[in-house]
Amino acid sequence: MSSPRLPAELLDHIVDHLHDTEDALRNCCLVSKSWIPRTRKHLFAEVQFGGPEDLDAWEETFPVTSPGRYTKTLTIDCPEVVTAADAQIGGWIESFSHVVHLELGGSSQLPGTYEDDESATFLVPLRGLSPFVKSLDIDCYSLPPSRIFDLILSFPLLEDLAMTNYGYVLINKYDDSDGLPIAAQPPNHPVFTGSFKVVTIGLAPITHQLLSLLGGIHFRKLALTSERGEDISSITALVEKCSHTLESLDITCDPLGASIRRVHPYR
Amino acid sequence: MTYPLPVESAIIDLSKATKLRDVLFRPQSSRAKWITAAFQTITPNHRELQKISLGFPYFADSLNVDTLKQSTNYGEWLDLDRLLVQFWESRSTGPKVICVVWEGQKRDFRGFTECLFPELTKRGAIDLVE
Repeated sequence: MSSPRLPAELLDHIVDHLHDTEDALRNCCLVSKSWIPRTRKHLFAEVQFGGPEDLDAWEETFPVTSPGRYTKTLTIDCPEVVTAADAQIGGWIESFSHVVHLELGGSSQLPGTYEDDESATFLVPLRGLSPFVKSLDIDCYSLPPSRIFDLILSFPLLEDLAMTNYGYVLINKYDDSDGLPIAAQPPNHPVFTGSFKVVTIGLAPITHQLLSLLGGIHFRKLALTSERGEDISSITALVEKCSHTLESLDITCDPLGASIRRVHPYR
Repeated sequence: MTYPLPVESAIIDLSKATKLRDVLFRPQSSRAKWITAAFQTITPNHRELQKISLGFPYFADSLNVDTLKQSTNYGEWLDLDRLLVQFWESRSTGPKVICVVWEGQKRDFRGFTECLFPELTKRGAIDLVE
């Protein structure tokens, strides 16, 4: 006589109740093979690769089948290492096909490492990582703006965008009147209906990219922080572009502080 | 096309942003003119506006109140104070003005905000939150 089985829906319901109890979920994994998919959904919902050692551990643990498809929030603090590993193994990044929230660190790079648009190619394999990405948080430091936007525009459902530590202007001695290449716009690029949060010294290159989008920007929340007085022109331009949808505005700036210089606002 | 304009003429125009619910400005210097200029673009059509917040850097409370009153920029804060009082009085559901200060500094900032916003303080229309 076969042992009684719980209906799958009931089993899922029980495991879902344990979503924030890692130890219990691990034990559930050991009960039966039939319990594994549902528990992995919660166990691997959030994955962070802090450094090469995390990557090695992941590869060692899952040499054949990666549970990356269960991941909703993926944090990669070492994107260069991850994309290099993907090039060696092949298809490793593709396994994270259902990511909704993507966080990329990059400020570990030394200033000036990525000076031109041909550099920072490590971002390329991350393009379109998951078609479900709704929020992207990128610590971009000195990455060229068109490279960053090549990545950003590859996520058609993207709503929320956060960019921190953006020092490209400072590192590359960029002047607001300098021209920079605009990222190619795919047919299904995001319409940006959520929030845009940026912490930067030099907002102009980012604004330049955002204002060039054919579909426009429709952020409901803007949180703009800059230490450069000149950035007030970029701030005014972004506020104006989002004015029909804007619900929340948070500005940290010092436009009339120590240095009052002439600037080139976007019009 | 770009036009060279002085920073002072770049005003944050909120006139079309009629869906605004909350606005937070965090000045990083003793200048308030740009904030007043932005608030002057708010119209009666901004019916959703519920909260106006001003955030100050952690070191702001160390500024001596007397020194602050004698500074050339003090008048800019009084202009802002008057404008915010007008907002508060002209709307049946006047937006709450909130000063955001760093944790544990609420007491230290009380004199500071009373100095910058005397009329708002007198009317009890300003709150200090950490």
